[in-house]
Amino acid sequence: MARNVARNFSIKRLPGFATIAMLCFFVLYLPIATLVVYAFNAGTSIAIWEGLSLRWFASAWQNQQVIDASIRSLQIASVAAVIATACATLAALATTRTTPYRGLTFKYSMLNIPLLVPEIVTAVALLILFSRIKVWTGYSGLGYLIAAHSAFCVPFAYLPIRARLENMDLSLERAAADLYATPYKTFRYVTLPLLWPGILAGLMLAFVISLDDVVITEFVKSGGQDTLPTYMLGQLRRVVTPEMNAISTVFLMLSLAIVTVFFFISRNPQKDEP
Amino acid sequence: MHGIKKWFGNFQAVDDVSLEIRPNEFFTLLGPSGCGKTTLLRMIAGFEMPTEGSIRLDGTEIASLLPNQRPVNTVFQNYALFPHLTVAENIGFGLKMLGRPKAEIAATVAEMIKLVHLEGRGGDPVTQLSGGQQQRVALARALAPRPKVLLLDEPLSALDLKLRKSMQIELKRLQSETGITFVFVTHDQEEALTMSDRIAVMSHGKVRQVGEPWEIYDRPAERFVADFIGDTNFLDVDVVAIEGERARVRLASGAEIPATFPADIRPAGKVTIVIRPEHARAVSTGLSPATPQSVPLSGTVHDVVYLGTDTHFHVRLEDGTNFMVRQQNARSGPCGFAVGDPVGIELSDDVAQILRD
Repeated sequence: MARNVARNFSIKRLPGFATIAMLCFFVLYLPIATLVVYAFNAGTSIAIWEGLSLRWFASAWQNQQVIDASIRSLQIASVAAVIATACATLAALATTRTTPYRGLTFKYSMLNIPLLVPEIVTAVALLILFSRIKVWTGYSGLGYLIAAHSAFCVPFAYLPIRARLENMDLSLERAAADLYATPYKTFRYVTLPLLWPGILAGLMLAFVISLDDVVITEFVKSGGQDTLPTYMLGQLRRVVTPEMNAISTVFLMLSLAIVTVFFFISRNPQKDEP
Repeated sequence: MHGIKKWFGNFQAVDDVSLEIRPNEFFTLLGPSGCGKTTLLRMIAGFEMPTEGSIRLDGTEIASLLPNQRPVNTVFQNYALFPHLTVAENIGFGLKMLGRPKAEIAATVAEMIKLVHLEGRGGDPVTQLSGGQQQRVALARALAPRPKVLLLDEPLSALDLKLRKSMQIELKRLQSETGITFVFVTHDQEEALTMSDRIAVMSHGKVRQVGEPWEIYDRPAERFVADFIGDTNFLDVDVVAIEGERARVRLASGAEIPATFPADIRPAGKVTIVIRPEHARAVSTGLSPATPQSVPLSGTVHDVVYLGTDTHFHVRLEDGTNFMVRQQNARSGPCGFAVGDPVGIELSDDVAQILRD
């Protein structure tokens, strides 16, 4: 039955569907492809092709500002991803492993609303808050950026973890309890191993989101705290060379690598739910 | 188990249930879905707390203990095997949580694997097993810690008919080999009759009758029990006299037959009796002059259902009630009566049971 329906109502038969789909792919990937190609340009222009070369990758590699910004980005992203994922895991457990009560939906919304609040609003709010704290404490290190990134990454990390928990059969934890596992042991030997793919997915998502952030970072950072994206933004205002393309390309590869790893982790067919 | 009551909000799932389950017994909670049998089971396991009442195990009150503090294990309806562990790790989980030494766990797991005929599969992930094999892992996992009571929550309902039949025998064997008390929940009356030492029939949160399978079947105390288990004929009769443990009842035809009755009532006046279809025989009325005493009922065949091993004759009695007769097809070939034939109905001795109102 279902197969018949699928055949009769195949979306492929809608007129113009294939054309629009192809157009969307072009709009999405043509600029990225162009960017990657011009990263290998021998000339100094990002629009005129002058032959193949790796000089811009080498120049980026030797650019101390790029290296500093990259390291800073990675530092912030790793710490923030870990903090955000830990918080998100606890939040996901608290919102799924409980009997529903009044206010649960409210808490659930509160966790997700940061995804909808315009980033610029959060950025301005944090700028004001942090400048106060800076005056009180005198501290002006990377802590502010890490705190900000941790906060806005929580809802992103929360989504895959919650999804994983909701798909997990509650009777598994009940079975563990029935087999003499204390609540801690149930978590340690049943919930956590089964939740692991969700946690890793959350971690990677948070990492990529943090790595990628411009708006909040731009507002919160102190002088000399450029991350890779804000450094690139600053450079684009002055002179544009294929060095930017080269950096972007490396950045892109890193993200792709993470997504690939994530794909293989989340696929793992043998250890999946029956 | 005494005076158990369980409320979910305004809904009373279990209403004043008191049961005594004996050691080493195969005890079945039988009833339609929503009758409270699973809730009762979950209270024994510790997943629910009774709103009122006490649950004692060997004299120790366990109603307020957490599930992991009770020497009681459960076989879940969907098995609830740990998908990230192997067969052996699943079976050994309870012992590991109890902190038993590794060597002991390995020995028990090997023994359990043998007990449920899964030799050679110990290292396999449970997700690679068939439904019947998963069922056996679930059983072995629950039996491995040697619980005092094993709870089984409709564990056979996901299996196909053939597998279910063989698992019924398997379960019975495991129970007698291990000597563990089994508390089995099912809505399948045949399953209950096949396996149980005793059965408690439940409906609407109440226990309707507790007894051995034959008592439940032949001596149902209430209309619900009689109706829920097997096919039944209900007849309205008058009580004439009480003679010891039997009552004399007068049928609509005027014939008088003895009838048993539940110990807690003194039947009088108009009552309903049940007679199982296989306890009656259809006989031809033409041959000999039928006396009401030898052929207490008579009527006309209005339906014949041939089932291979048996034939069911649906007879409309003279007063209009329907009466079903189940006759074994002892000979080959067409036998018995056709629709429209007048028939008499003979009854075996002592087959009528008076119902509580």
